[in-house]
Amino acid sequence: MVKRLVLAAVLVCLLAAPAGAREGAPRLTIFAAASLTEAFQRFDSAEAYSFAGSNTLAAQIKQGARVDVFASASPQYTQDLFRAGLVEKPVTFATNRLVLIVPKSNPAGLTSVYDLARKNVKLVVAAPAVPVGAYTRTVLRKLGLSSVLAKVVSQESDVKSVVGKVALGQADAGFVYVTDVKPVAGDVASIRIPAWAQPRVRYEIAVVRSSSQKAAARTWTTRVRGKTGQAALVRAGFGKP
Amino acid sequence: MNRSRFLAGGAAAVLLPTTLAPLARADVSEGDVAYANFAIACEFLMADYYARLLKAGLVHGSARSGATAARRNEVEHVKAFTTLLTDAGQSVPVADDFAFAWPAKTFRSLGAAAEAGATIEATVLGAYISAAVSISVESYRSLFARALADEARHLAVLTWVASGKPVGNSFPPALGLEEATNLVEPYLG
Repeated sequence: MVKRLVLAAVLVCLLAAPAGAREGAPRLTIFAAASLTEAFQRFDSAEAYSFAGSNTLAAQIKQGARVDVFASASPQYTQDLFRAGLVEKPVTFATNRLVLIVPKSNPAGLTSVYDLARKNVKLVVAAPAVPVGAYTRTVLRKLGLSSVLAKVVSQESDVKSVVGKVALGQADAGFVYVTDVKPVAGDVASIRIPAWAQPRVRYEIAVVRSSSQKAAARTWTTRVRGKTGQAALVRAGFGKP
Repeated sequence: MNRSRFLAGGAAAVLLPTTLAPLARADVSEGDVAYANFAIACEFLMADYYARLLKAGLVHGSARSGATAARRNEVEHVKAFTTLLTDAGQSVPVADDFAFAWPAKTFRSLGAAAEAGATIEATVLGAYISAAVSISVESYRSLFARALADEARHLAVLTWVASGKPVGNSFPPALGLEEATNLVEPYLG
């Protein structure tokens, strides 16, 4: 009987604890690229996240925001902060690919990325300073299709805003990460971008030097790069570093 | 001429040195950059193809020498097209950027391997024909023309092995980048 009660108590504790929670420890504050929203929350729902464009988050860290960990969709921002002495040495922990999304109803009738040049479309992209915006411009340059930027009707501050505009039918197409499609699979369809035109999308993670929980932050970044973290990222569609 | 003598001839042909003249540092158009990116991906793909063909032990003797030389040709083409991108100030793809996807049965028999190789070489040839007439810088046009002549030799050998008919169209079709991409994309992963 006692054994059963102990077992039940243990089960209750296990079920009550959020996934990945560090018992008794204050929550870490994690700044992460918007494209990591679903993957990180599923990997560890116990921490305090702020998801946005990596450029915005990097600017906030520069301005002294109290953060423990920064995960960027581009090495540009982590390396910039590292050079400024604001974060510890960044490490690559995931990769990604770009895709063109269209509303499920596909009003412009797009079937190929080349259709962007042939048809009259309303295109939405992220701003050039946002990693996905920079990657979008790289893709278009590699394809010889930079001229389609003239069809851009809106430049967004992060990838989720691009997804939202297309999912709501406010644009005919938008460039996002392949990992952004799954959560809105009922609202959008994706069009493949040729492998030879893909940019090198690398995510980097770093512990912020001003963190008051450096040890816990280092442990967390190690977990992200470890077996369970990598499994969660792969499940969300990210590539391995 | 029997098949092994033809393969020996093909090997000799692809072993010819392919010295490339220095490329002009000029204004490269975005279309040129697109062709160069496509070409580098395809050349990496074909280098991988010949490496796998050799590893699978499907070719022997002079045919093995030919496949080895063809692989070297593809690597040299990569270097040349890389120069084009460097001249244009563009980032250069590396082999690790691609995860090539070969159908499971591709390297189980010489016939299947030759068929897959011929499909890709024919596509590359078609795209290079388009590049050779549309690239904006003359030295780059010449580069594509010389590479396509080399790929045509590879294609002839592979077609001979796959179908026994090395000689095909008087005028092989030119392929636009979109069409060529659709044909090779399943292999590029």
